[in-house]
Amino acid sequence: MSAADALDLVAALFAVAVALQSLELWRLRDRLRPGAVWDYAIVRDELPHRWARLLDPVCRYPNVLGTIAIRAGCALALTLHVHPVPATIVILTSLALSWRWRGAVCGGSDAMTLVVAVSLWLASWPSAAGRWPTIALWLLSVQLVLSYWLAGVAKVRSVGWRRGDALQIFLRQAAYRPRGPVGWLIARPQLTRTVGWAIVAFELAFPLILVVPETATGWLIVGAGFHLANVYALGLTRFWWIWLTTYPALYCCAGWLAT
Amino acid sequence: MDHAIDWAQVGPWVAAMVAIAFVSFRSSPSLQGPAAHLLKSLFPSWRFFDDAGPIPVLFVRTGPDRDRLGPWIAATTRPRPRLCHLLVNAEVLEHLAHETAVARLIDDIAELDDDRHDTLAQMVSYRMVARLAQLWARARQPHASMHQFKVASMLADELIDDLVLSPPLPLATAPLEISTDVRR
Repeated sequence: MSAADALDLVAALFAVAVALQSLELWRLRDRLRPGAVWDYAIVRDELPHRWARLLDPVCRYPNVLGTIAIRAGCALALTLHVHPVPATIVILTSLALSWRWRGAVCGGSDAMTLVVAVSLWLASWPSAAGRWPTIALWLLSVQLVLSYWLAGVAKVRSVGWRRGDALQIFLRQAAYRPRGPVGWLIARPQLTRTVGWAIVAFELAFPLILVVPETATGWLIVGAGFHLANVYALGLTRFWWIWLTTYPALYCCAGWLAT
Repeated sequence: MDHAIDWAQVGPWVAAMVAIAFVSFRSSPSLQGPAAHLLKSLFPSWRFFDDAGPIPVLFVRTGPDRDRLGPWIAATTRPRPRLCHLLVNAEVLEHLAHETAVARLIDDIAELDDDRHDTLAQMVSYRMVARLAQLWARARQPHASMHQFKVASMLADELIDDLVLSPPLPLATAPLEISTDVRR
C-alpha cells in the first residue's frame, strides 16, 4: 500500500468517524442548552475571562451546534484533498468541543481523534519527497501501537488485572447491563479471568506487529474484533470507528518494514 | 516462517516505546484544573480501563418537604443496546459523560483544601452535578417539592461509602449558597 493510498483511506475513515461523532453530539444538543447539565454559563466559569471570551463564539449555545457541523464538514473535505485549512479547523474545533465538554467526553476515542487530526494536518503540508505524509503515517502507527501496549502495561501494573477479576468488574459496571454472551461469561469467573489475561497479552504483544510485519493483517483483524466486542459489551462505539481509522497507516508502515 | 529480525530497523522502535512507557509511568508533577483535562486529550497516556474498583455514583431522593424525603435512587439510566449503536451511540455517550462529571467532582474535591469546603458549591463540577441531580429528579418526580443528592462509591451493585451529601434543596430551583457535607 502506498503512502498516498494509506492517507486517502485514513482521511475517508476519519470523515466517517467524525461524521458519526457529530451525529451523536447533535442528538445530545439539548444537553448543551441553557438550563441543561452542560449549560455554558456553568462550564464557562472554569476558564480565565480572556479565554472564555475567545471561546464564547464557538462554544455558547446555539453556536456550538455550528462548531459541530463545521468540524464534520471539514473532516469530509479532507476526503477530497488533505489540505492544511480544513485539517487545522478540525483540530481547533475538536479542542474547542473537548473543552466544551470539560475534557474527553469518551476517553481514549477523543484522544485518538485528535491524534488522527494532527497526523492529517502534518500530512497536508507540501513536501517534494513526500516527507510529511510519511511522518504522519509513522506518527499514527506509533500512537496506535502505543495505545495498545501502554494500555497493556497499565493493566499489568494493576492488581485487579493480574488477579484476573478486573474484567468482571468492568463488565458489571459498564453502560450496558450484562446480557447474552457477556452475562454468560460473567457467570464463569475462571473463564472471565482467562479472557482478561488474553486481553492483556494481546495488548502487550501488539508491538510485535513491527518486529514481524508480515503478521500485520492478523494483528489488525484481532484488534478490530477486540473493538467490536467492546461495542457489544461496553457500548464503546466511538472507539471502534476511530481506531479503525488508524489501521491503514499501520498496515502501510508494516508493509514498508516487511520490504 | 523463517524471519530474521532486523534489529537495526526495529531496535529504535523498541527503545522509543520503552522510553515513552517509562516517562508515562514515572511520577511527575501533575497539572491541575481544566488545562490538565484538555492536555490529556492532546497527549494521551492510553491508560484506560486499568484500575478496576469502586466508581462514584450519583443518587437522588425527593419528597414533599425536607423531613419526608424518599429512598435514595441511583440517578443513572443504563442504556439498552440497539443495532444502530454500531454506528452512533448517543445514549452511552451521555451515560459516560454523566459518569465523568460525577467522577470529576470527586477528583476536584480531593484536590480541595479542607479549609476551602465553603467554596464547594461554587465549583463548576459541583454545579454540574447539582444540575444533573435536579433535572433527573424533576423528570422522574415532577410533583416533589424538595430533593437531595449524594455521591457514593459503588463496586458493581454494592454500595461502599458515601462521599458527598448535599443538603435538601428545592426542586424548582437549586440555590448555590449551601453547605455540603464532604466525607473524605
